[in-house]
Amino acid sequence: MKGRSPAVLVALGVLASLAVSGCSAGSSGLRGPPLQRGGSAVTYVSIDEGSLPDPRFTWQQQFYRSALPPWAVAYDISDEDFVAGSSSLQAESELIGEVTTLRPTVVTVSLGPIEIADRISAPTFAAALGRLLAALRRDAVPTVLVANVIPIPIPGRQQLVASYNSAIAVVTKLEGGVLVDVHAALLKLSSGDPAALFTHSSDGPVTVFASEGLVPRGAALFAQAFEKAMKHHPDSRR
Amino acid sequence: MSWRDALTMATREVRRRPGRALLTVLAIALAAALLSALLTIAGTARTRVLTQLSHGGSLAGILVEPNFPDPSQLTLDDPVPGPPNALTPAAIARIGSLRDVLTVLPVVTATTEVIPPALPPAGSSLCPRERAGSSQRSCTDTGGAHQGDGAPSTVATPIFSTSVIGADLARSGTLPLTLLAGRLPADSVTEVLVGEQYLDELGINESRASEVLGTRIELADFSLIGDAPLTRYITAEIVGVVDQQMTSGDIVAWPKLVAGIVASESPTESGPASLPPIEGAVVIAKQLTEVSSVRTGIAGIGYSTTAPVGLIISVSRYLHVVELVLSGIGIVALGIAALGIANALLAAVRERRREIGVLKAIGAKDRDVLRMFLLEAGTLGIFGGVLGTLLGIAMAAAIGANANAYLHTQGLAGVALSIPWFLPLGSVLGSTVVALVAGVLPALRAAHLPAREAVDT
Repeated sequence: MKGRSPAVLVALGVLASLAVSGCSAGSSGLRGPPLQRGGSAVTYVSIDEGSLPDPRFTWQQQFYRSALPPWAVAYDISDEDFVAGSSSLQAESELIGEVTTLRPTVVTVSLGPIEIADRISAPTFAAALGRLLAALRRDAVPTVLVANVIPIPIPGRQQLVASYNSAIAVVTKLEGGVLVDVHAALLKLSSGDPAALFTHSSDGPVTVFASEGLVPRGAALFAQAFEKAMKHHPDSRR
Repeated sequence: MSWRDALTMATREVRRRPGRALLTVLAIALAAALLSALLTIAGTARTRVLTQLSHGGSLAGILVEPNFPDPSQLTLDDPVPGPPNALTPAAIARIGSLRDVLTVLPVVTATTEVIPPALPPAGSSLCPRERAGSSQRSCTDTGGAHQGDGAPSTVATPIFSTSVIGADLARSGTLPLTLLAGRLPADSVTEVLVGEQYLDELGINESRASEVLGTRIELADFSLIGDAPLTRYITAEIVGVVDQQMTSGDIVAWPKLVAGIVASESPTESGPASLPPIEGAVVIAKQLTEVSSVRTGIAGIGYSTTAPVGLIISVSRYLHVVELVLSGIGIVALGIAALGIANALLAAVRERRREIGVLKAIGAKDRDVLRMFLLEAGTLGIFGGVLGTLLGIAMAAAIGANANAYLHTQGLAGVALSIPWFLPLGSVLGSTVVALVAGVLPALRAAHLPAREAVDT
């Protein structure tokens, strides 16, 4: 696919996604019954690239504590030894059945960096993400929040990050999810220099939160971005 | 000499020697005050403790456990051997229908991981010292669990495993549960109580229990979904700290919250419909004396029980001994006061020999002199008794206020002062009788004094 523009790649990915899911595009597909104040069950599941050993320092738990009502239940389908959803492809094949079994009312999705590190093309990623979101739509999950990819300072990957984010924006909109712009939030945290967020190893940048001082700040920033997006969700009734 | 004349003369004598009369009255008053205060305090303690113990109070409770092989049942004092016998709602109803059972409260439990806030309270033993040699500890300036690049500045509070106990907290008065700080949960799915183990895990002691109030914890349950590990989290606010003897576990909540930890469905504000299996029950007997027969009845149905009957009886006996000792102290004080009265009246007889002789010379009989001295002793006794009773009640109230202040600092409910109606009356009458008895010997001596001998002195 070398030489094709990101827009073309995204378009191909979206088409592939829609073809596999067998559903027509629509902005309300994922929006089932909204969250209600009082009496309603609130179940939260995150599909992401794994979590830290101590759940208190994860953005998922911070989002759970601060954005959801006190009677909400959160599920984590991975631990430090088993990361079922470490890529969107894995998530689709290994997690989606379990996620829908839990009948979630709020799902957060944060995927992409591993595929980018593995040089998986944006259309392939977009197609897998589309299938994942379509499955959530079929299960009538009321609120699906999809994060775009954080600024990853791997030389030569900025273009791929941009392609992924374009794809995520389009697929999320088509499948009725809510886009969470963590990319912009992380750029703000790093004062425009994403490299400052990373610990480098011989394999390249490890993770955005590898620097322990950034764990609470980064997690809070992520959680706030998701919370803000959910509050601005037009169908959210929290 | 009429009674009126005798009374007039007795009061005149009291007024003539106000210093001596005052000291005598004070001696009686102090003794009466001591006795009144001690009896009030002992009575209050008895009311609070014994009444609760013997009339269906929490310590008259019987803990019932399902009959199945369980190492924890080694702690039971009445294990029932036999086949497994789970506690079902039907069994609870059967136990409730036993004679002399006041109430049956089922207890449910769920094992969970407790995830406290990441940072312990300031001053916790988990927090680092502010500087070398300083006894001050601080967890406040850490910016989270870690600060700087990879350099932990403090140790985060540990995540630990325990059981969450669910019981009908609306009946907390009949549960073996003591609130040390805060309040009982009002909300059935979002509020919990914690025990002392939680404080230990946070590195703080019981006197600082109130510091955990208002903080939120997460309760995690681990299971599998397909082949993948699944962790289920619920959050809850700590609203109280308790000491509980229901079963092993460090979190106490309403049963609906316990159900929410393990339920396959999500809880709502009104909680899930189904409850987890019953892990035990607290059975309250109508009277302390009926605990034994109720236990026999429960064993007959096929369940193991344990009850602190021996403890209750021992406490009851100790309280009785305490009452006897306190009464003894008061009686000794009254005895000393009586000796004081006798001494004062004997001194009065010696000083008034001439006066007694004149009275007899002008026609007063022995019984008139006897009556006069007894009335004088009785007057001193009445005044001393009234003053002492008022003083004693004030002393008891002051001691009660101090005791309540201490109890409140410990997060315990205060004690209402219990003054039986007969105590003030008995105290005044008792003081008068003691004074009269003490006055008998001096009065007889005065009465039998020969008139000539008395006048010649």
